[in-house]
Amino acid sequence: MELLRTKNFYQALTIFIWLVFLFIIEATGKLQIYINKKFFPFTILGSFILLVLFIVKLRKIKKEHSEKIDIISFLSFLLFLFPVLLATIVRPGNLPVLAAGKRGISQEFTGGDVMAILKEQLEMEGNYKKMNIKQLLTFSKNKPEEINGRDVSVEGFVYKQNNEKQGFMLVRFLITCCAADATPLGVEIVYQNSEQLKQDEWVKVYGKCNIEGNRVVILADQVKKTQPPPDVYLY
Amino acid sequence: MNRKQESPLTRAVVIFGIFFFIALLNMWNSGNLGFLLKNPKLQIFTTVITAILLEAIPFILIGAIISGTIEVFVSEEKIKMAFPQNRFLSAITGALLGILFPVCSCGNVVVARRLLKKDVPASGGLSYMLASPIINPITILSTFIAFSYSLRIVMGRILLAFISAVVASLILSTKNYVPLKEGEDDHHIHHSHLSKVEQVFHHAESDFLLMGRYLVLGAFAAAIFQTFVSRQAFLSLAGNKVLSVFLMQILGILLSLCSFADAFVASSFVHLPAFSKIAFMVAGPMTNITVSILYAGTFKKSFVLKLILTLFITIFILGVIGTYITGGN
Repeated sequence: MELLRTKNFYQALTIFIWLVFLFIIEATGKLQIYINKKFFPFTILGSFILLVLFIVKLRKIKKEHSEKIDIISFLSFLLFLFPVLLATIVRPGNLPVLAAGKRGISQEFTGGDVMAILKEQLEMEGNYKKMNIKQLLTFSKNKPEEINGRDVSVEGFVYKQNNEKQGFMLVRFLITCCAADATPLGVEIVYQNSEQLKQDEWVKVYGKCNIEGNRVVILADQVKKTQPPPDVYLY
Repeated sequence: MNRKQESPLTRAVVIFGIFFFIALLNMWNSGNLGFLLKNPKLQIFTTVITAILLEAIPFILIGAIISGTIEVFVSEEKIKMAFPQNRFLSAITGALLGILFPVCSCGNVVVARRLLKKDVPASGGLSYMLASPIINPITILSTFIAFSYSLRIVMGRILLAFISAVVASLILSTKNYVPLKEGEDDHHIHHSHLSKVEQVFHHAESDFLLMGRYLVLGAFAAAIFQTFVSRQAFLSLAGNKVLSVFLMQILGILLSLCSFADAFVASSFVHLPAFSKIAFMVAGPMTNITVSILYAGTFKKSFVLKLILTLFITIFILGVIGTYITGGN
């Protein structure tokens, strides 16, 4: 019981809790809710370093007499514990539609590797060219003739700003590193039955693409409700 | 935590805490907390704080291992030889060192702290800490891609970061001294019975536990901002050229984005002058909330205030000059 009042114990516990937290998030596939896939190797490396730190700490506890925990070290332990408890209890899903409103939906996309995006092979879905919002916005800026007046199919979630009755904004979040930098990209959809759709609902839109000034507008033939795709974010 | 010192009140608080926690777990398990847990603001806050930590903690750990390795394996003499002793040349060398060691700002503060403890010239250690999150191959490449290969934006960002880092580090190191806080490993690591590799990990653990708690505080503050304040409101205020530089600096500070990613966010501010976006991409990595709280774990409070203020003013003046030279395009 003496061990429970030592600084080394709480420090080892902090490392252990974060090690387990990272392991569970990696093993359950939840990591992609938070960070871009290209950063996964760093998180795995971080888990490995934490494991080594934990083993070395255990050896230290065995070898050394530890001083008693002080108030600063205890508060520090609670501070490390807080985000783990929060994420465990709240169990966040994908970023909600409110985040799109707060961040402002971008209807232009100038970043990204334009050449690579323009060269991507596009599948056909019947007569519709299957595209994502990032591809649509890139083409509209760089090769508008390829999509203007063409039939396209595109997926995203519904964002209605002022209870529009004739349409809505179709949105996807683009993330570069993590959810903190997620930028909502959107295209306007003109659809007669948009009052049947709910805010934040995932849909697939089939329709004719029109470029009006700098905006992409899709005149929807059909809007199908769908489940969020495995990769909810665009990268 | 001596048993004799535990008051009845402390015991009551602990017992209440345990009951509260069990009740919370029970409600959570039975779904009764759903109305609260599904609250979009709580969802955004939790996603953002967890995302920042999951992204930054590996880099803090990598920085801590580099820092521990420097402490154990590299002598003070060798490190001093890497930096010129002249303050000005040392600041320039430090600002360019990130090209060789691309660590993002969170991990970088840990490494810089170790270098300063090893008595590198203060101007060099500081300019390395400030400039390397921006002047490194990964950030330069991501800026290049985000702005569709615009050399003008990339060069503007490198120049603004370089000059700001050198100027601030020269102003703040006049006596070749920076007031570092003492870490736990300064006193409590007894090396006699440990192998060199174990010593590296002990130093790394100490750095991680020290800087990690400041990182949690920083991520907390950044998540609060991202949940409650609208980016759109900032962008709509940024009509005037001078005001837009100022507001974009503030936005960079509040958003606390990683320097590898901020260019992609900046590129979405399509209607702003180029130097406002550059000020956003320089002020962010150097002075954002998360990194400022990490500075507070490294340096004494008054020094951190001077550092942030000096950087803010320098970036602002240079940003406004840049805006007028380029005609606001």
